[in-house]
Amino acid sequence: MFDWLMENSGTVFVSAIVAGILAVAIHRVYRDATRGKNSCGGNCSCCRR
Amino acid sequence: MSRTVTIALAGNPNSGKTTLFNALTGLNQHVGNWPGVTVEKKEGRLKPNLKPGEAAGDDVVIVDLPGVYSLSPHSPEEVVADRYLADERPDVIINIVDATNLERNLYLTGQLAELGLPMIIAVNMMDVARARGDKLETEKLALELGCTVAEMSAITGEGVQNAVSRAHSAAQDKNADGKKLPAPPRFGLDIEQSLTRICDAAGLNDLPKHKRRRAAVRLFERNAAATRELRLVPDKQAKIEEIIKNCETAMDDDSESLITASRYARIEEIVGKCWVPAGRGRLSVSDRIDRVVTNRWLALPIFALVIFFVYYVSITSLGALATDWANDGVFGEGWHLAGIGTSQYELAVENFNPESGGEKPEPADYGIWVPGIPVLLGDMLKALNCAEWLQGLVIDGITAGVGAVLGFVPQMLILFLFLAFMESCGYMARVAFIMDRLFRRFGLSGKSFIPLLVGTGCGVPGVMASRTIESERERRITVMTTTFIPCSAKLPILALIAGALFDGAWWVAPSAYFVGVASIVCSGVILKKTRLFAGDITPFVMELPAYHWPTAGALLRSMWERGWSFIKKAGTIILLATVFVWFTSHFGWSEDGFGMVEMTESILAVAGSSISWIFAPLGWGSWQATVAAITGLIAKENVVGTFGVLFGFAEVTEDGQEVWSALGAHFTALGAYSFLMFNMLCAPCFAAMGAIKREMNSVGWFWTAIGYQCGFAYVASLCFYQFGLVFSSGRLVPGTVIAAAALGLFLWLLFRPVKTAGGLASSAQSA
Amino acid sequence: MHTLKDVPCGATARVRGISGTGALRRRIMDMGIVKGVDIHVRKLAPLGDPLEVTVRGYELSLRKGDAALIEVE
Repeated sequence: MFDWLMENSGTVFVSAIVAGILAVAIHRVYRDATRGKNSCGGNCSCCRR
Repeated sequence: MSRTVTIALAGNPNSGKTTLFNALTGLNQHVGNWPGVTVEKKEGRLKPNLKPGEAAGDDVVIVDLPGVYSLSPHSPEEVVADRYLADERPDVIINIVDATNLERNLYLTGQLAELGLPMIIAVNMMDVARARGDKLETEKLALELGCTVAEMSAITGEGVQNAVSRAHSAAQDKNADGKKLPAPPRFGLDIEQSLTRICDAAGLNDLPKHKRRRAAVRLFERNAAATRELRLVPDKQAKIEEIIKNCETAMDDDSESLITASRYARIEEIVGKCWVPAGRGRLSVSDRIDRVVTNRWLALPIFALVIFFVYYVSITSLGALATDWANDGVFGEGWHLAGIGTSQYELAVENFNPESGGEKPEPADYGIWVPGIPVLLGDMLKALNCAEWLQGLVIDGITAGVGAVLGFVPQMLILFLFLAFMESCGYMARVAFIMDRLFRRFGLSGKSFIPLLVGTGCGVPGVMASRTIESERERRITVMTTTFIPCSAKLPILALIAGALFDGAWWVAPSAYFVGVASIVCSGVILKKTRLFAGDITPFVMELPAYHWPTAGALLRSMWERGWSFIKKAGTIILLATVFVWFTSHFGWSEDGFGMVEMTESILAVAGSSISWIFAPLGWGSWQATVAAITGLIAKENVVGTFGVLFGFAEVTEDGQEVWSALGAHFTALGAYSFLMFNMLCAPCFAAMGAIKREMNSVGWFWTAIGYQCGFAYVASLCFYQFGLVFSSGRLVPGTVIAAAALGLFLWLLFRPVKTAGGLASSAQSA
Repeated sequence: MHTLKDVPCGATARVRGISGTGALRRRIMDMGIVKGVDIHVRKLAPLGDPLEVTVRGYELSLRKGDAALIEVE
């Protein structure tokens, strides 16, 4: 099993990075959704009055 | 010992309250909703460097109340402000008064003074007043009003620190004896007598002085909430009513008018003593600008020109240059740093003939060459010996999808800058004024225009901005149609189609904007005529602030905020959607079972093809277009991201094929524009849909809205495409008949006569 | 009855009273348009309506329909 890990180290390494990025993305989206997400800029200060 | 000191900001709309709030809290703001109503609540912490010395240990919270002209019980903002001040009792109020508009601003001041809370007056825009030559005698004003008056100019920052210190001290005074509270205004003799009688009749004399006065005044105005709160029994109410009626007869006017007139009479007296305006003979700069901009004949053409100019510069000319660099360079093969060597390199490539031997010119020989991201990543992944499928995911999936969207960031930033300028200089208020008549003819008020304007940035605050519309029916119509206007997320789609399929023609981008406005207007007409919506038009009473040159800082900040949020979105939602699209478009079931397949056999293609026929009459019945449109429901930028993955955006080919050429070959010009129309008009992204649902406060209305939008988009694109075919090919097709029928229905809905109730009395229709 | 609606562009009129009821009337009064105040009609919008008036030193837009509620001398 260790051999397999060594052989595919590149793949594993990159997969880990990609998985990490995706996890952060999912977490961010989840956080925004529960906070009543606003996808524009600067919160609701952009809706005048 | 640390405590929390709460400072409430109260003032008219356009008095500079928001500017002050931002200056006081910086980014430490939290924006939410007042419970139970759809009015925005803003709260923040005072920036540490603005805290007055003795408050060092305290927690200073600033609450920004909605801008109101008075505390009358007639609109949600006023009720919210009144409730907050009366019930939550903040430690001190900073009443922001616009120096260039004293009389009207002081009207609210009088009402605030009746609350019995410590208060200071911050006279804002002193810089403008001084420039005009107006003179304000602050000391005298303080004397007349019975509270501290501080001069300020929130936009330059002058006097802000001082105002905060004075407010903080005023809040402290309430702990000491003899708290210094502002003096409530005195009314005319007759009214004062009636107020005293009301106090006796209602048994208010046990209440503290301020509470007593406020209650008496509200009862005199026949404020229903006051009667309820004091729990007055019917015969007490009758007595009070009698007192009021006597006064009304004696003074020949109703009680509300009496109070308002009396307040203003007192204000005129005060202002007369403290304020010396400069001669108004000359037209101010604002007036001169307005002469042209709101001129009867020039206003609309000027507005059209402004829109064309803004979109032309951001999408077509300047923006396109930057985006080409992003697409071909950063996300393509590469680029020369600072553009040095690019022209020589291109010349060499042109002149290079493979037959004649010699080497192919290397870009690195001509200048500092920065390889594109796909190249860099590709090399890196190969070096790491990464598995094929993973390389595919990273390059053909993530980089292609996210990169495609990020490529449009330059155009977005330029557009955001323009929009920020137009909003803050005051032009947008004029536009609402200009459009009011046009809109009114179609059943909407100019106030419906503001959500539209806000919607050019993002549909979510646009939809929420509909709250300023008092008429429930009009509000619903506005909520339903606001997203027709291209928001910033739809711009990449626009820019993409304009660039790839129309070779950057100047008219494509602005046309989407006008199609949006036309759709809104037509929808307004149609919907107003259906029984669901018939009703009256909102009264339109709106103030036009003076023009002012926005500061570069404010503009850049606004531009950056929106730009950054766009980028963040790309890194999250779009990233995830991209991975999904890549996966489903590269995997599927073949003879060998489940695994990597050709795109045409993938899960996505199969799924997409099963419904793509729906869109065939619209000119874009391919599975790719269908899938792209559907991913657009999550976030509009996904349309571009999806195309990026499906059409090999980040593919680095040997012969340097132009990016997006595959897309160009995929659509006909007519079909492309129809696709564009559909995406512009159909249901917005999930976030906007969420906003619509919140504003409608009803699931039924929500689905009505979505259904209407999709239906409208479908019919509009259908007609466009079918009639376009007829014009271009001169042949009639079965589709044309259907389109003609749809158009006929549309025109009938638009022009049919409907009986309307006369005058301003409300119609008897149920909501 | 002479109302603000009838006042020509460029003229100034003094308010005699506000007719109508409810929120709109109150809003008009809250904005400073009460008995005895002067209103100056500055301009009409491109399509004739609304009108822009100057009252108490600031500019306000009012629909013709709403202006009809403002009785002037």
